[in-house]
Amino acid sequence: MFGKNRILENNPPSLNLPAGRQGYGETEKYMTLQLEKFGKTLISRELGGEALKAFQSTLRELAEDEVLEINFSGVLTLSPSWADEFLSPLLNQLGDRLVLLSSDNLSVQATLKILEEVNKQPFKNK
Amino acid sequence: MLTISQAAEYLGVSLNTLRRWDESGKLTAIKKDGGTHRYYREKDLEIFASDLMKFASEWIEDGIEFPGTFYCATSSIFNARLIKMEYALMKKPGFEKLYSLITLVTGEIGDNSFAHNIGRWPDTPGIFFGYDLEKRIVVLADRGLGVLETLRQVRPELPNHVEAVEVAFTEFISGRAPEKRGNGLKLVREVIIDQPFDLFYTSGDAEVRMRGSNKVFRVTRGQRIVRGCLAKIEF
Repeated sequence: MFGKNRILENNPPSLNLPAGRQGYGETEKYMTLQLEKFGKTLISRELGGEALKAFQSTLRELAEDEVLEINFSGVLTLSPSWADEFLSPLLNQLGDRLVLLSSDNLSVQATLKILEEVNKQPFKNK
Repeated sequence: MLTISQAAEYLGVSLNTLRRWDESGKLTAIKKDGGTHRYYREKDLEIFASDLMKFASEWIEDGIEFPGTFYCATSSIFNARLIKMEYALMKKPGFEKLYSLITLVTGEIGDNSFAHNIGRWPDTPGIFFGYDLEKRIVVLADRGLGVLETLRQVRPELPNHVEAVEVAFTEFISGRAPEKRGNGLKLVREVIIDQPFDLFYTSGDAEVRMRGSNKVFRVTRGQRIVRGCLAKIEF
């Protein structure tokens, strides 16, 4: 699953950031996860847990000073059950090193809002 | 006109079921010139299959068979059918953005049924999932344990269905293991309050009715006792 078509991109910000977008600073490294690689309709609790398990081996490659950036583009529906199994453990593990890119999808917005209430911890956004 | 085999395939039921339904008058077949072969008009089948609430409530109350096209035996079948609904909804004028919230509400209620009953279904596993985008209605139902029994595993002191449904829709339950009931229904409640959607939800004798412009969340005690859960979403 993470062979040729890796879900993580590990590029210096200068190569990946559109002009004008704020980066993470000159030395800070980041990886981007395109969440839609796990599917466009992310609903079930069970599949959210499976996605996290599948992601573990790649997550181990994240260096201690690296930020994990989540991109929601292409996701049609994100449910709180799926996200609670996937994003909540990542938030607990990475804290500030987990960064969510903004999304105009209504289900993504609603789900992230309720997860912040559940976890009593805000997500870092970009 | 469809033959009985074609009608059986259309509705997803067996030939014997159609014969039984004909004999009982539930779905009357047409017999040409006094013959014995049964025929059906497609329009009649369409009308018959459109009463989603009737099928769902008869199934959970009395175990009465319904057209198999609405049956999701496993959560993967439910997910596949949900994605089909999501794509159809995206193309519906006025729902270009709202589709994701309708899919979220439907997905949470349906997924709850599987998550809380897996390996513990009292008789028939799986859920009823029917929708009619023209009529703007989604109906979900299961013959599972119901909210009270599943929540009692983490809240043994819960006294009745009404309080159990209240907790399910309003409280964050910490340390959810072994009961994975988290935040889904809480978000369902918030989405229904904020958006032009109506919800009817029942489990046991507890009922939630959220309708119209000034929606409030309130759980009341209804007349009937419903096995498992039944939900109707209108949008």
